[in-house]
Amino acid sequence: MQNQSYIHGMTPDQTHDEIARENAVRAMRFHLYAQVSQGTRGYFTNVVAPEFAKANGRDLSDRQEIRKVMEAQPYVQLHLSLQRSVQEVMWNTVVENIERQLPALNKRAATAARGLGSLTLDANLTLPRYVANVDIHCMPGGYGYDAGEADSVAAGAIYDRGISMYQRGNEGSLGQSVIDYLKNNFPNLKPAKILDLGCTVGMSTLKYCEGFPDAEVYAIDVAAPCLRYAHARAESLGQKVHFSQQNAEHTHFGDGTFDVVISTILAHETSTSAWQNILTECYRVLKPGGVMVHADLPQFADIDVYSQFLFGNETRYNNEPFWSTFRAMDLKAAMHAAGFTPDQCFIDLAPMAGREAGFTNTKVVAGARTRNANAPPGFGWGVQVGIK
Amino acid sequence: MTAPLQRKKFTRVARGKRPRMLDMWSDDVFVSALTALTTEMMVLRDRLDTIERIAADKGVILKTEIDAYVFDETAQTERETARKALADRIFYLVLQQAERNKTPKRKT
Repeated sequence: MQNQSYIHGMTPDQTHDEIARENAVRAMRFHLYAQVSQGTRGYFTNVVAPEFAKANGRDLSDRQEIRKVMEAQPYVQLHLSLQRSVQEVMWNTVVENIERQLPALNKRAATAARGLGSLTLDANLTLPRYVANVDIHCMPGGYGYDAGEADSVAAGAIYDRGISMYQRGNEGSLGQSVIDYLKNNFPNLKPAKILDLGCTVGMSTLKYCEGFPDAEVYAIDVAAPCLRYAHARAESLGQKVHFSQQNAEHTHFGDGTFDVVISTILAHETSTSAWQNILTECYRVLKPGGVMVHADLPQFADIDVYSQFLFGNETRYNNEPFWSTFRAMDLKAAMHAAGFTPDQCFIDLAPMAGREAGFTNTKVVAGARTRNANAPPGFGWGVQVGIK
Repeated sequence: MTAPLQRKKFTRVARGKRPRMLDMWSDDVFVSALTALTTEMMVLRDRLDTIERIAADKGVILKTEIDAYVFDETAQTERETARKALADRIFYLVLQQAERNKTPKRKT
């Protein structure tokens, strides 16, 4: 079907109306962020904040206080209700499309190998509780969802369409941001081996193949349906990636295996203890002189207090239990505890390679960054960087 | 044409509590239905636009044809199925609650 901007070997069949429905959901989402969300910010600036100041003789001071006041406002309640509904309609749209053709997609994945990369699954791996107990982003069934079929790619197919709907040919732009950041800050880096943690369907992973064509690229995830899909997707696009089903907290890789270890938007989907374990594991598998980069949304201290409130909505309203806790973590201390010396690890902002949907009214302020902290404000990905 | 919804095999429910945003659960249902309804109207508008453009390219002005068209029994049945599918999409949150209600431990 025409009108799809990014086609690969696992792209599902879509009718005219299924494509129209994706376009409609995207229109609703942009409406939400461009119109409704601006109304919420205006309401805060023009009504809620001044009224609070008048009544209390002081300004609203932190995100918890803003949340308490804002969640009592009917407009904000309606905004949140719409936001949740748009997210659910988005998943309904995707699930309906994948549901009608899953056996065909499974078959396509099973025969996709072109002898480029590899796929190693571990049937004995238990999903960590932060993946198993809640369906992050409200994606029905979560990352491990197989819809009751053997050799299933269900969760991978659902996730891929959900992300692609918004990326529109810009898939993997977060991975590209990481590549750009590495090339700008480590111009002499010539990695022989790269590891991508929590790769899901490998959108970012493929950017590492393109960015460092001489490197061997490895990618791990805990969810088999995502990995089957990622492998088939990569092979169809002619990219060589070694995918394996492993928990990033304790991988099977030997000490000092990798020149670069990367993750994108993984950290906030783990837990305090898991993230510490992952940082420690990164240190172990890095070669001496190797570089670790984890990209996520910025820390609370790097954004204004109203944006902190907006960001925090993800925790309760979009099934992101660790989101807010993560954004308040002392990541520099965590990297140090993982083995990185204080002068060889820092927090920074990486410019975005492509404009992402959402969070467009975020203003970054110098705060949590331990590197380039005096750089002018501007939106970027929060990156944790460690050099072994 | 949009395929009729098959027997639902995939779950539509995300694990984790669905918070209440508005005062009443039913108010959140109305917002969800309105959201879905709006997207469906956009889909319908796209489809009509496509049909009219293709027809016009072939020199057919559809308005006259539409008013004069007589539906046979098969077409009537197909339309009825499509209407049911549309209601399922729009009132999805009610269906989610129905699915949750089948499991005693789960709450709204």
